Formats: sequence, C-alpha cells, structure tokens
Amino acid sequence: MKNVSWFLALLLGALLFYGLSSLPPRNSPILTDHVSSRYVERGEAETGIHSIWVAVLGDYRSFDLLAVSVLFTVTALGILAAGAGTAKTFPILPGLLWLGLGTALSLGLGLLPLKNDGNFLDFEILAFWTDPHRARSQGALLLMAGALLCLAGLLSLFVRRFRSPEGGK
Amino acid sequence: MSLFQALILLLCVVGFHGVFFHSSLGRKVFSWVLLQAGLVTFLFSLAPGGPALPKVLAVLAAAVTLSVGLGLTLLCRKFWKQYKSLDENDILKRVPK
Repeated sequence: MKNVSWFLALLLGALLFYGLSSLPPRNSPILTDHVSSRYVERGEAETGIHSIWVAVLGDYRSFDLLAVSVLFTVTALGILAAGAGTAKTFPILPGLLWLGLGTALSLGLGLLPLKNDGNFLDFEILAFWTDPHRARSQGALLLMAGALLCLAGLLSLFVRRFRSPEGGK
Repeated sequence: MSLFQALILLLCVVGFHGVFFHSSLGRKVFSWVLLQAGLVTFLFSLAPGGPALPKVLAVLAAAVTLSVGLGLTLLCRKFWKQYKSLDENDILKRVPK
C-alpha cells in the first residue's frame, strides 16, 4: 500500500497541477457567478420551491445529494464489513432498515424516469402522482428525505457498532 | 501557478499521501484533515469577495472536517486506551478473530 500511495499521490499532484494551472485568475467572476446568481434569481421560478437552499440542494445539486446518499450507504456497508469478524451481536436491523429505505428512495427517484423514457433524476415524472406544478419540489423533498434516511441508517449502525460489548475489540 | 495554489496542491498531496502511507491511525487522521484543509483553502480561494456559494461550501467542508475529525480523534483515543497503540498492524494482531 505504501508504494501505491506514492503513485496515487503523484497522480493526484499531476491532476491538481493541471487543474489549478487551468483556472482563471483569482477574483475572476466567471468561475461561479453565473451559477450562484442563477440559483438566487431564478431558483423559485425554475424549481417551484420557495426555499432557495432546498431548491439548490434538492433540485439543482440533486446529483450531488444522490452521491452523498451513496457515500452514506457505502460507509455503512464498510462499518458492517469491519464488524463482520469481531462483533456479530450488535443489532443491525434498524440501521439496515433506514439505510435500505433511503437508498431505495434515492435510487428509485433516479431510475423511475428512465423507465418512462425520461432523464435520470428528472422529477417531472412525478406528475402522475402529484400536482404537475409541484412535481419538481416534491421530488426534491423526497430526495432530501432519502439522503436523511441514509444518514439515519449510517448513524444507527455506527452508534450500535461501537456501543456493542464487542464494538471496541 | 501562484504561491497560494502551490500551497493548496501541497496540502492536498501531502494529506492524500499520508492517508495511505502512515500505519498510525492518528497520523492517518491528521493527514485526512490536511487533505480537507487543502480543499477548504481551494474553495475559499475561488471567491475572496464575490459569490457566496464557494464560501458556503467551504464552511460546510470545514464543519464536516471538524466534526468527523473530532469523531475520528475520539475513536483513536478509544483504541489508545484499549491497545496502548495506534498502529494499525499492532491493533490488527490483537483483535480476537
């Protein structure tokens, strides 16, 4: 692993060097101005969500939120794998339940539109279930709920793993 | 590349390398914090006086780093109390199969 670490560090260094060298100079407005001003000015009109931070997190940055949910799930599976050899007694069912629900909700929201010839994570597809004008906002809220369920599952597994009698061994 | 960007690159590379290189859990945690510090510095460098989004992301990343870093430090403390060592190989040998 130590030899690999040098290779990975060099690779990261080269990538960062390339990326940082290609950036516009500091104080340049072109980096993020167009994104953040669009979020603030047109967020409510485009997404139908009154709260700007829900609109950004659940709609504009929905792929990021989905990635965070996947991250929570992978971390929870890592905790389960780490405890597989040492602690077989800690109760994992509640955590797994939250985690499964959150993952199913998040991935389901992403995959459901594909079944109907839509794009991945296209919340407009929820129009069959709710008011079409509110489909995007409902989708964003459901995605946030999925991420929170994943987080709850992760925390539940984490706490139960390390509070179990065999947790620290 | 400016001196500031060189600092970001250094923090990220040294931190990333340390996470894989060190066998001590404490050093791994410290390296990860260094990597995160590079990321936070990069986000702050994007918008020194303008748009708020990178600043919000930087504050978010700093808060996550602090909280996760604190949690990992507590875990290290627990391992230290139990095994009197933070070396992953030492701990692995003593963990009952």
